[in-house]
Amino acid sequence: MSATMLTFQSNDGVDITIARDVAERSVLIKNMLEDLGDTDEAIPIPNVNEAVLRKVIEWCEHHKGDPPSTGDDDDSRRKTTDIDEWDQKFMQVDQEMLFEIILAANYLDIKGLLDVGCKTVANMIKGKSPEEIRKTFNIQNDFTPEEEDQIRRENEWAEE
Amino acid sequence: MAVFLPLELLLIIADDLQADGGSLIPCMAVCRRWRTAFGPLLYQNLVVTSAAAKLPEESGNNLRISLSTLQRITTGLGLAQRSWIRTVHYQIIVPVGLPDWHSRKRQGYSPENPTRHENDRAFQSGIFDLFETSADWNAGLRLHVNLTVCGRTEGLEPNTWQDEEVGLFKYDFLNGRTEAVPVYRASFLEEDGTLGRLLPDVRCIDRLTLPERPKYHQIWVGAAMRIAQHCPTLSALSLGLDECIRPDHLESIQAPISDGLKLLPRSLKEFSLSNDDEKPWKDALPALDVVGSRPDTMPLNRRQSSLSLTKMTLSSLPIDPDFLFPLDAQGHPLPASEGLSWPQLEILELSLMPPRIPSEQEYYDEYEFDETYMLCDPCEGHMERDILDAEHFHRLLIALGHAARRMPRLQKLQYALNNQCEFWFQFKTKAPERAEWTLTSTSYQPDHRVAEAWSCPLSMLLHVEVCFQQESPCLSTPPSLLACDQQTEIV
Repeated sequence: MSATMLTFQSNDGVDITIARDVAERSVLIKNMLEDLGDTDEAIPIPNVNEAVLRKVIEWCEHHKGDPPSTGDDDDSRRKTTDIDEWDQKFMQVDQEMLFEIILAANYLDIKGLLDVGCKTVANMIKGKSPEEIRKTFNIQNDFTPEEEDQIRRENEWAEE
Repeated sequence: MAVFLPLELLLIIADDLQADGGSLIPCMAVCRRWRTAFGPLLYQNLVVTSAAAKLPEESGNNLRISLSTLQRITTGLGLAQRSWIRTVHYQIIVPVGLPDWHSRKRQGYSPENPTRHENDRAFQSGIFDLFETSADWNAGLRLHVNLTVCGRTEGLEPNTWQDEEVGLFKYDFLNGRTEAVPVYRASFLEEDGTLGRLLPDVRCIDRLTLPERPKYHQIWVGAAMRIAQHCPTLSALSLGLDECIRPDHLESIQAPISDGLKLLPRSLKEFSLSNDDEKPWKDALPALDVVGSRPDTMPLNRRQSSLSLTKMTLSSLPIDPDFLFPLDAQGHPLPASEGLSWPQLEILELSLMPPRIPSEQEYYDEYEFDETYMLCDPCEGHMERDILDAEHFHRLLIALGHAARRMPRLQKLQYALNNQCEFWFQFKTKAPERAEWTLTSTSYQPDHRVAEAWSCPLSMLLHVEVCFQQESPCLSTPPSLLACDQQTEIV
C-alpha cells in the first residue's frame, strides 16, 4: 500500500511533509515514486529552497483536484494569457520569487504551474516598449550601435 | 530575468505572448538574449505581401510585412534572420479582387480586358520580385512557400454587373457558360524575357503550396507549374486546382498540368494534386479529365517525374484505371509499360476518385438533350455515373498490381472510389516479409489476371472478398484481412 504522506527536503535542508496526491502534481516526483517505490526517508529536492518549495506546495494543494494535464489540453489552455483569480493572487510575489517558482515548476515538471508563471510574465511584457521591458526586468541593453540601427529598421514593420 | 530564465522558458513566454495577440517586436529590441529567444517565433511564419497594402484578411498571429521590408531586414546585419523563417505566406497584391461567381456578363464582355490584364501584370511582377529577392538565399534554408492572390479592393470587370446569385451557374450546364463571368486565375502576361526580366531559379524553396483553404489561391495552374519549374531544389509540391471545374474550363487546365508535370524538378519527392469535388450535376456527364490521364499521355508515369517521388497523393481526379501502368485491351501490360518503375515511392494515395470509364463509352444514355435541365437542378434528384462493368475494376487492380511490383520501397497504396458503388482498396506492407491486401466492395470480385498481377493465388483474394462481406459489409475502415506471404515478392 502506498504511503499517504511523503517528506521532501529543500536545498537549504528543511523537511516538509505533504500528502502524496499533492506531491504527485509533479510529474518528476510521480515518476520517481513509481521507480523507487515507497520510502520513509526525506526525498531531496536539490534545486528548490524552502520558501519556493512551500509556494509550489501551496499551488499543488489548491489544484490537487484538477484533471491531469494532457498535451492537447495544454495546447488549448495556452491560447490565452487569462489567469484565474486565485492564481493571479498567488502570483503576486516579488519578481525574484516569480522566476524561482517558474524554474521550480519547470524542474519538477508541474505543467499547470509553469503555464501560470509564464503567462504572468507574458502579461508583464504585453504593451511595453523595449525600454520599459528592460526596466521591468532589470535587463541591460547589450546591442551595438549597428545592431540598434538594424532593430530600428525592423520596428518600421509596425507602421506598415 | 535574463539571468534567471533559460531560453526554453523564454520561448514558452514568447509563445504565450503571441497567442494572446501581444507583439513580439518590442521583445526583439530588449537585448541579444531576448532576440535569440523571440526571433525564431516572430519570423517562423511570415505573411509577406508583394506590395504594401491594407488587406481585410487577417494574418492571425503571423507578422505581415511587405516584400521590400523583408528584403531590407534580411540583408546586412539581418542576414542571419533568414534562418529563422520557416514558412512564407506570400500574398500577391493585384489591383482588383475578382471573387469567383460574383458577376454576370453584359453584351460586349470579353475575358481579355484591362482589369484582368492589370491584375496579371501585378501578379507577374509580384512573382518576379519574390524570386529576384530570394534568388541568392541559401538552399539550406528549406523554405515552405504558400502562394495566394489578393485584390487590393474588390471590383468588377468591364461589361459585367454584380449578381450574388450567379454562383448557381457553376452548376448550370446550359446557361453557366453564357451568363456567368468565367473565374479569374492569375497568369503570366509574357514569356520569359519579353518584359526585360527573366524569372530566376530559387534554391531556398523546399515546399510550394497553392492552397485551397481558407480561400482559393486564384492562380492559374499553368502559372503555378511554371513557378514550380523555377525551384530546382523543390522537394514537395501541393497543388489545389482551386475551382469548381466546368467543361468549358477544361482546356485551360488540362494541357498546362500535363505539360507542367513533365518539367517538374527532379528533386521533387512529394507531389499532391487535388481537384474540386464534382457536384451536383457533373456526375451525370463524362468525368472531366483534368490531368490528361489517358495512359498514352499521362505524364505521372514518365520516368523523369517518377524516379525520385517518395509520396504521391491524388484527390478527386478522374483518371483511367490503368493510368499508372498502361494495359492493352485484354488487360496485359503494353510493351512500353515494362520499363516503368518508381524506385523511391513509398506512399501512393488515390482518394475520392470519381469513376472514369474509357472515353468511347457513354455515361448517360438515358438522358435526352432536352432533359439537360435535370443535370443542373438539384430538385430533379441526384444522378451518379453508372459503373458499366467489372472490367473497369479489373483493369485498375491489374495496373496497380504491376505498378506496385515496380515500387521496391512501397509502404502503402490506397484507392478510394467516390461513388455509390463501394470500392475501397489498400495494399500495405506490415513488415519486410508481410503485407496486407484489403478490398472492400459490395459486388466486385477479382479475376485471375488481378491475382497474376499481384503474384497472389486467386483463391486467396476471393476468400478475402467473401469473408469480408460476410463479416462486416458496411465498415468504412476495413480491418486487416490478410497477411499475405505470397506478396513477399512484391515488396
